[in-house]
Amino acid sequence: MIAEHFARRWQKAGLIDDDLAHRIVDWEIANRRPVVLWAIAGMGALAMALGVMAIVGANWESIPAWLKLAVDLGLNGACAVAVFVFWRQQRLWLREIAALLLFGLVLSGIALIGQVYQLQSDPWRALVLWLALCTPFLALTAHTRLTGTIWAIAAVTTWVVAGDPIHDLLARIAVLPARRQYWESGLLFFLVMGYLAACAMIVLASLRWLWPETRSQADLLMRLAIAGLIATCSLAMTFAWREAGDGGPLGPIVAAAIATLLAAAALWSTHAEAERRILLILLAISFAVWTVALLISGFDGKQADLTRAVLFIAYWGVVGTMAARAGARALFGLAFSMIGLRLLVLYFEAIGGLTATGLGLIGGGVLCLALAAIGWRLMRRMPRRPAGAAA
Amino acid sequence: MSRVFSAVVAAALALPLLALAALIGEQEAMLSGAAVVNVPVRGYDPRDLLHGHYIQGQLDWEWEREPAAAGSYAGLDGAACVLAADAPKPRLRFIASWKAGDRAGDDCRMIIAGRGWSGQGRIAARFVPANLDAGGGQVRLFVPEDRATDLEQLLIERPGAFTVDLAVKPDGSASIKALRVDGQLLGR
Repeated sequence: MIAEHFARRWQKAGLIDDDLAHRIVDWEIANRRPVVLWAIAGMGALAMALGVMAIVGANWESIPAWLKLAVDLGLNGACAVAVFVFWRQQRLWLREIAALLLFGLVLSGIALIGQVYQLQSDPWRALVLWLALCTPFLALTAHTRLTGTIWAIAAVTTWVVAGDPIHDLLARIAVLPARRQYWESGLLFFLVMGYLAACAMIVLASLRWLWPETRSQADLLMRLAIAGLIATCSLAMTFAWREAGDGGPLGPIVAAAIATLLAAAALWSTHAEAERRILLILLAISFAVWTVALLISGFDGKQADLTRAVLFIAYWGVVGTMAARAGARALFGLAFSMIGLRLLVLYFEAIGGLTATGLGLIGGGVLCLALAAIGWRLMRRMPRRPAGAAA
Repeated sequence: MSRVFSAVVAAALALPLLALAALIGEQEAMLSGAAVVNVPVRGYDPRDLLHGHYIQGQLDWEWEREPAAAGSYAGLDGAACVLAADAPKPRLRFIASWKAGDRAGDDCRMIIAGRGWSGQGRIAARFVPANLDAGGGQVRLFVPEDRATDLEQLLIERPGAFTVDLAVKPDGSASIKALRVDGQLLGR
């Protein structure tokens, strides 16, 4: 529909002839990627899996436990067979939806066993078991971005839910100080979690990249990982104030260094020179920014705020430059907006009093307009992303 | 699509199924041949995202010897010797630092490995089997959705009416075999 609309529009404007317009429309029909239908189908599978979980949660007393367990195992078995058959027949749609359904059913099976046998373990254990059991078959049979997105959401959820044991583990290996109370988890901990998760996702995306059939999924995972890394480093520069109980910055810096090296090694060994260059630069700059942000996180006052702001702007400057080189206009626009926003905030941080605030607002407005004009010019000059380019 | 690859995919698909079946088998093995002790529960009813409604509460014991932990929040690892008693609540003797294989005393009906908390003022002493501790000596008992509110009320109005059967192995490990209301089985 959209392709036909634009083809007709360009045809009317005299940019393309009738024959080319027909050929474009025919090609689009033959190579259609119905994103909306995919999304609806994915939501349907997810809704069914959640529905089974809700029924499990209702814990019907009138159905004997053995029958509930037998039905659950039967459903899991039937779904596993369906995935296998659709995979053998190479029926993409059915295979992906059945795999997603099985993904949900396995979780409901774990929940059901926990309920029937009154198991007391923490939710993160159930989620880790779920991912451990499902990741192999998803990796082998499900290749679409939809499945990749849902798996990534599940992995991030598990990572967040497992926050307490991860904190204890990081404390045991001296990355963070031990918690004085079990509910105590500072912002620094969440930043470390974010950095480590982003690097782990880069490793996974790199491994996924090795298999040609799953490259679009790998590309999506890499984008999510890079977005997570940039967001974490930006937050570290903005909010990483160390409190008395947070310990020194060495632990988080060493942990990030190891994670960065692993991610860089994965990128180096799986991607070609042209594909990995920008990603490696971004990774290295992110680590440098992370290190500086943590080193200055113990300092207070205007000078420290100014240093953080300059670092933030420089970081997003690098991100913008990389985006411009890769022809990623949206990321370039975002980088430009972030720099503008930080400059505006810096303006307000530096001033005080009503007159000064008024002047600050006027100055900030002018600054935003000037930045928008410069950004507009730069974006028009930017080269387009080459066809088939990676993240 | 090679045969080997097909076999790998089939194995990956069978893995969750086998693991779920193994989990069920493990739990059945835990329950089979274990001695059973029935314990009253006191608690309240919140919800769990994965398992549905549950009663969160504490197991209610009689004490011959309470845990001598420092303060009512610091727990003490050890075991509870369940003594022969006629009372509705099992009578316990807490043994600090008990390990599987240690002697517990000839008058023990069974021994349950776990964690104890001392009582202070109006806070009663607590003991929870090691693998049932949902934090701070609490246990979570998953109950049917349509009975959750009634059971919550029951815990307030008639303490001791809601009980659990604990299946206890000779090594001291315990699991929940059944829930009971006025002695009648609930759920499973």
